[in-house]
Amino acid sequence: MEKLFNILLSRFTEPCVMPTVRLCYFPTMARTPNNDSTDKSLVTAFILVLFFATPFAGLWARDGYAWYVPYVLWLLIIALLAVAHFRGRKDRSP
Amino acid sequence: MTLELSSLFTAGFLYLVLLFLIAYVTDRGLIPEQWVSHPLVYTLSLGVYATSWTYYGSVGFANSNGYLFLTIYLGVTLAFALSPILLRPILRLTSEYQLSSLADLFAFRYRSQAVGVLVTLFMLIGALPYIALQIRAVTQSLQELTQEAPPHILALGFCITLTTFAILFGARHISPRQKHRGLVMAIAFESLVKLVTLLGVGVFALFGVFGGPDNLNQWLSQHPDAIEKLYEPVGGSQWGTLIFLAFGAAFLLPRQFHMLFAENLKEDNLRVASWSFPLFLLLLNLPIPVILWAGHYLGLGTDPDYYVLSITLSQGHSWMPMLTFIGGISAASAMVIITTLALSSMCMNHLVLPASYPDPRVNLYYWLLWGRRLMIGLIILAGYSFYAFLEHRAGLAQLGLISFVAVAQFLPGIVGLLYWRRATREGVIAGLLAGITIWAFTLLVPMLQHSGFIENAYPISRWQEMLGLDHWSFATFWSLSLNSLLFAMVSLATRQRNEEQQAAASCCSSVFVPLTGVVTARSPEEFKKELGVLLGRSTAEKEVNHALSDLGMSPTETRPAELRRLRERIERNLYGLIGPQMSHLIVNQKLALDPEARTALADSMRYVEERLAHSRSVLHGLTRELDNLQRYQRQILEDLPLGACALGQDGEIIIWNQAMEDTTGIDAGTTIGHPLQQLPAPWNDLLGGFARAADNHSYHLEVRFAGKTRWFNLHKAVIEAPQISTTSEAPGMVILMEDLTQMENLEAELAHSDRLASIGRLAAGVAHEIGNPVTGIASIAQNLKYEEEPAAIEQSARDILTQTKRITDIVQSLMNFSRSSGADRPREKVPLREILEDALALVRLMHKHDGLNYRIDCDSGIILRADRQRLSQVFVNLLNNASDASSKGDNIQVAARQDTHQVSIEVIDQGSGIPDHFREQLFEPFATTKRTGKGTGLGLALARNIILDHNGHIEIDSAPGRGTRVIISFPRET
Repeated sequence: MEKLFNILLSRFTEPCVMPTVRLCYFPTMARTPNNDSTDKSLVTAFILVLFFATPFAGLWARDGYAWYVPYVLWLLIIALLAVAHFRGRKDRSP
Repeated sequence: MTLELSSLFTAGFLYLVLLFLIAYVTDRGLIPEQWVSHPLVYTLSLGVYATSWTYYGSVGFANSNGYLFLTIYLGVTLAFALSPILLRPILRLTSEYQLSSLADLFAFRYRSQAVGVLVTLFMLIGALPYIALQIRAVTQSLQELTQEAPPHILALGFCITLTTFAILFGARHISPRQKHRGLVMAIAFESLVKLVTLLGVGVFALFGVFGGPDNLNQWLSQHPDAIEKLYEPVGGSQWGTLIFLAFGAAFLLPRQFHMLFAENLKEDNLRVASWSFPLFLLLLNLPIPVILWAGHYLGLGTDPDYYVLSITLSQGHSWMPMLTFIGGISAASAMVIITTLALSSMCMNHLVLPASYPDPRVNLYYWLLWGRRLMIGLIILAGYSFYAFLEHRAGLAQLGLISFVAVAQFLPGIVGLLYWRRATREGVIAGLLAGITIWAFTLLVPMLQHSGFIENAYPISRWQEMLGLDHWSFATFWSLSLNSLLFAMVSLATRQRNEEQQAAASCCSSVFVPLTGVVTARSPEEFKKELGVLLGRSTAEKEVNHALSDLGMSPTETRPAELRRLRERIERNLYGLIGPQMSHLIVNQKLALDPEARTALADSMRYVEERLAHSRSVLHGLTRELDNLQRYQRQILEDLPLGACALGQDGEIIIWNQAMEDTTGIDAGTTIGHPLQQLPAPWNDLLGGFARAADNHSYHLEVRFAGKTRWFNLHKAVIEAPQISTTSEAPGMVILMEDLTQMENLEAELAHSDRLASIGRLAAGVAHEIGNPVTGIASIAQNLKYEEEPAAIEQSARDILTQTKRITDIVQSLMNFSRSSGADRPREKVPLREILEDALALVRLMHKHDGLNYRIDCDSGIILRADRQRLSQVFVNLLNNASDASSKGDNIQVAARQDTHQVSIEVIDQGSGIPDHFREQLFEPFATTKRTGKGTGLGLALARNIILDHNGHIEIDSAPGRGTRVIISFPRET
């Protein structure tokens, strides 16, 4: 799940990532883990809007689909949020 | 099957007693702290979002609008997904400034009582239909279960019980800023009950009604329209609108704001809730379609809003509907309790207090406490009245959505609060008034007309049809569009006042606002006296002591910067007690700032550093890199092995590093912000005097401290940096203090070692020198026994004495030279010639057979104030070096002269001179051109230090093969 999320995240963020200024005196001064977690949450919010509040919703709300499809999609969104949280917590811990 | 009203009443009552018990044991500390502050408890407490609308109404909503009911929870998921840029910034603001409600937050940001009043009134009006909805859900559920119309007295009894609970556990503390752990635990328990009972009903519907998933699928294949109907509204006009409304309601509804921010114990709980709360909502909604289909399957003729109860009544055991009813009571009671608590606090701070501020003789705490309790009762009573007079025609979801559209009107204001510094109070008031008006015309009035309150109202439906929008989308679109437009336009057209600008900057996390100004009150005691005029003496005392304790500050503190911090802290603490606007007014009036006083740079720096430390987790990109750089540089300064002290333009200390603390024994916390003159002796004179002196360097300053003598070099530089803050001017100077004490002691030991080494070299000469008189004495003594003439005997005795004196002089010279010199020996007036002769006498002993010619040209009237022994060592070392470099027959001359200012001494030899490559290291310890065993290499280094110690100067003029001239100068003794 996390791998899938990272791939998704990289698709969304790669073209926008600015080259990070790395300073030699502090090894931890690269892109902060907290921001990484924030990015993941925001990308998840974007996916939620895409799936549920745009014409994309018509793709899963079709006759003949199982009644629990929206719940599965919702669960996927929640899983992405959980991954963002746990990844952020792992990075935050010393 | 029906149930008895009395048994339902008893069950409901016992359940509420259980809630009392849970809240009570939590408040008494009987439940471990890690449970109470566990993120799961926080997540479950947020479940107050799911009211009886969710519990009962979702099935009815699904029946009429399919999956549209899911939007109410998808919007919440969206809000929690945006938590890093939406909820967490609000949480930081509310916890930092102790803001307990949305009205507090708005009043704080827009610095306007009118904004607070408007938000409170609108919240109140928007929440009443929602409270009525809960009461109605409870009475309706009773009707469903008993099949008889419940008397109004039961609804009233429910309201009274809730009022009691809310007062006992929600308005228990004197100060509203304290957390209500018992209440949160009880609400979390209620959420758990809701979840378990609703899932239980779902499982019952699946297995008890359908007989398992296979039968359900079979029924669905026979009734394809059941799923089609669910999917029908997806993507329709209401779909996006309701997601948007639920997004706003997720954190703007009074109960949500209260549980999310006011009762939050730690920020990490919100991080966990960002996924766990949506999961809770998903589980809560999972059984809804199954329950709906079970109702259809059973052909129930009741209102679908109450299918949750009806299916358990029709098929299950008697305990099943009872449990379901308890779940409904949970949903309704939690909402009413938390909403009234949040609203009561808002009403007190923004309606009651500004209208009738209590007499200072009255205890403010108790006045506020009882005021809040009264407000709780009044709000629940208003909700009951709304319920009692409302025709029961509107569905549960409709009543709830009216409140959702109402709170959505705060969205432009909250976005402006977080991200638009230019937003003004006039803008937010204009936007809110427009939004409220449209909301009232499009939703409230039609509902009142529908319920029979109003007979004639403007037919809004014509406009809706014209625009092709549904009821909710029409109201949401027009109210929010006008609201946002007016908010933006009026904000751009009006100017912010200074205090609003400061509050705006505080709300935007990227901007730091340093504390400015100096409080006119000069001590915490004066604070108490001044605040006591408006707050009452005892309240003022408690508040000032509370703030002192928060800051770890002494009650005797008088530093302006610290008092400015104390003022800020008191104001923030009062935000949580009487609201931001009243607090701001009182503090501004009673603890006024001196407009003429300039903020000390130390304060600005400390404030910025504190803010940076506090906001570190939100810094990113270049700002984070800069912060790291700043910390790194600060650490360099802290770890510098030299004492470093920076002064502001007014002479106040800005930086006092670790080495400075170690050297002086004075903690940085007690020095920063003070002028140098207020340091304890001797540092006040030493550093203060040096700061005022013209010279930028001062060497070898001697200080008596703690019974010991210490030596320091001081250096200073004026810093002409650009302004580092908008409110402070450039700093004045930086002083570096070099502690020489260790070096001085080491040097004394080295000098002693050098002397001992010289004595070793002297030994042969000394032995010879002493040997001669001893031989002489022996010969005289031998002849003496044959002498009979008294004159000859007397002569012999005189000769013996002469030889003995010669030996004594030699021994005395050696002892004088070898004695360890204390670095703090007193200086005395000594004739230079005597020192030179003493030194030469010793050198001659060492170089007796070298055939050198020594000459001293020194007037006996030249006097120096010096340490005789140390100065003697200088010349012994120099003459020794000259002798070692010279060859047989060479002359070594010591020439001394004096003018009006100084005494100059030259030691001149005709020896081999100093090699060019060696000149750079002449004065370095252990640097020598002599053979091993002939010299230690310490002689010149020591000589130079002793000369500098006597405020003298030494230079060497030498060329290989042409001899060396050492020129020494001392200030003349006057």
